[in-house]
Amino acid sequence: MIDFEKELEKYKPVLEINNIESELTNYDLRDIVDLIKNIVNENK
Amino acid sequence: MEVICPYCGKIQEAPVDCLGCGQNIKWVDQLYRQSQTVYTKGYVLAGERNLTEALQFLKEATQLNKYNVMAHNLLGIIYFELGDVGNALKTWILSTSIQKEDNLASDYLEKIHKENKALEKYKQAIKLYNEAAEYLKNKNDDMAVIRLKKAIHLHQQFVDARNLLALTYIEQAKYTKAMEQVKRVLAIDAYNPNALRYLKEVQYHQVECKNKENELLDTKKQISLKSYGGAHKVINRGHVLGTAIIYFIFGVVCMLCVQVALVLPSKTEALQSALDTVTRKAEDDLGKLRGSLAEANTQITLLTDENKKITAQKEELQSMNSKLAQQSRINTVIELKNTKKWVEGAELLYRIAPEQLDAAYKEQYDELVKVVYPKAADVIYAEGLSQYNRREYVEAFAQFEKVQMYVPKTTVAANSLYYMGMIEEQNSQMDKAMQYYETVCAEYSGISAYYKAKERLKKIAG
Repeated sequence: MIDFEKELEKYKPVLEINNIESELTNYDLRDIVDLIKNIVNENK
Repeated sequence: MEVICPYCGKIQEAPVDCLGCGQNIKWVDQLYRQSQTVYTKGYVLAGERNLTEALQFLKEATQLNKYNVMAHNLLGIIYFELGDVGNALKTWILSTSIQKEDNLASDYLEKIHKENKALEKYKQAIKLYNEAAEYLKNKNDDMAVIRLKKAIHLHQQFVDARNLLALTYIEQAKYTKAMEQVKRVLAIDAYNPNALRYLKEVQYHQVECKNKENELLDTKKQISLKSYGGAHKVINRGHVLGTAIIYFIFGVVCMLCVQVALVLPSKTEALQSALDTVTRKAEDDLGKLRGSLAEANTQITLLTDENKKITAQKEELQSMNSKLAQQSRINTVIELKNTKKWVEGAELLYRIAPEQLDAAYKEQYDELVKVVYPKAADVIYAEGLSQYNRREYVEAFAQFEKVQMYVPKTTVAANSLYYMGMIEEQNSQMDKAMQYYETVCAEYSGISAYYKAKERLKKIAG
C-alpha cells in the first residue's frame, strides 16, 4: 500500500523558468577532476 | 581523446604528463574515458525510453567530466522530454558556457526562445505544478487536481505532474483515472519507478474490486439456489437416475431372494434380516446427513445475519464519524467568519456535505452559505481582476472559476464569466471564449457584463 504523505515528500518543486538565472549563479560546476586536483594541492 | 590539463588548462591528446606544466595527467584521461562509458550507457537507456535511469547515468557522466558536452546536451533533452523545462534550459545554458561554438545546445535554446507561446505555456505549467504540490501538502486535494489538470493541459509531457495527479487519484480511490495518467507516464518514460509503483497499486485495487464483485455474485447465486430448492430437486436428473438404478438393483435382489426362497426357504429369513439391517443403516446415515446439512444451513444463516449486523454497525459508525467531521467544519467556518477570513471560510464551507448535517447544523450551514460565499466571492473576484490586469491569466482564471462555484447566477459570476472569456481570447481559444460570452448573454441581461459579452461576440463574429 502506498503511504500518500510519504509519497508526497518525493515531489519537490520543479525549477521555474524565471529562476534559472539565480540557479545558474549558485550552480557548482566542479567535477571530480577539480575535486581531486584540490585534494592533491591541499596535501602538497 | 583530448584532455584539458586541470593545472594549466592546456588541451592535448592524452599524454602521461602535461605538455604545458609537466604534471601527471594520466588519471584525468582515465576519468574522461570513464565519463564517456557512462554517457554511452545513458544514451542506450534513453534510446530504450528508460529516461529516469538514463538521467542518472548522464548526471554521473557530467560529474566525472564537466567538459562532456554531449552528456550535458542529452541530459537537457531528457529533462525536456520529462517536462522539466527549467532544468533542460539550465543544462543547455551550462553546455553553451562550456563550449560556445558548434554546440547543439545553442540550437535547442534558439528553437525554444523562438516559440514564445510554448515557453509561456511551460512556465505556467511549472508554476501550476508547484502550486498543486503545495495545496496537496495542505490537504486541499480539489484545488491541487484543478491545477495539475491545467498543468497537464498546458504541457502534455509533464511527467511529474501526471505522476502527482495519479497519486492524488489513488488517494481519492479513483483508480481508473489514476491508471490513465500512469499509462501516459509509462508511454513517455517506460520504466519510471513512481509510475510502476502506482501501476501495481492500481492493479491491486482493481483486482480487489473484481474479487469483491465475484464474492457478491457468488452470494447472490447461493441465495437464489436456496430460494429455489424445490426446482433444484426436480431438474436433478442424476439423482432420479441413481434412485431408479437402486430400485432396479433392489428388484433384482428381491427376485433372486424369491427364487432362492423357493429352493432354500431357510436362507430367505437370513437374507431378509440382512437386508433390514442394511436398510436401517442406510436410513440412519441419511438421517445423520440431513442433520448435518440442517446444522450447516443454520450456521450459514447465523453467520450471514452476523455479517449484516457488523456491516450495518460499520456503516453507522462511518456515518457518525463523517457527521462529526462535518459539524466540526461548521464550527471552524463560524470562527473564520468571525475573524472575517472569508476565502478560507468559503473553501472549508464548500467541502461540507450538507445532507449529512442535523437540522440545527443545517440551519447554521444555510446561514453561513448566505453570508460567507458572497463575501468570499467579492474578495476572490477582486483578486482575480488584479491578476488579470497584471496578465497573470492562469491564476486569474482559477479565481474566476472559484467565483462560479460559490455564487453562480449572480452579477459577480456574470463578470467572472466575461473575464474567463477574455482570458480564453488572450490564449487564442476563440471557441471557448465564445462559449463563455454566450453563457453570459443567455443567462443574464441588463447588466454591464451582458453588454460587454455581446460586444465581444460581435467582434469575434465580424
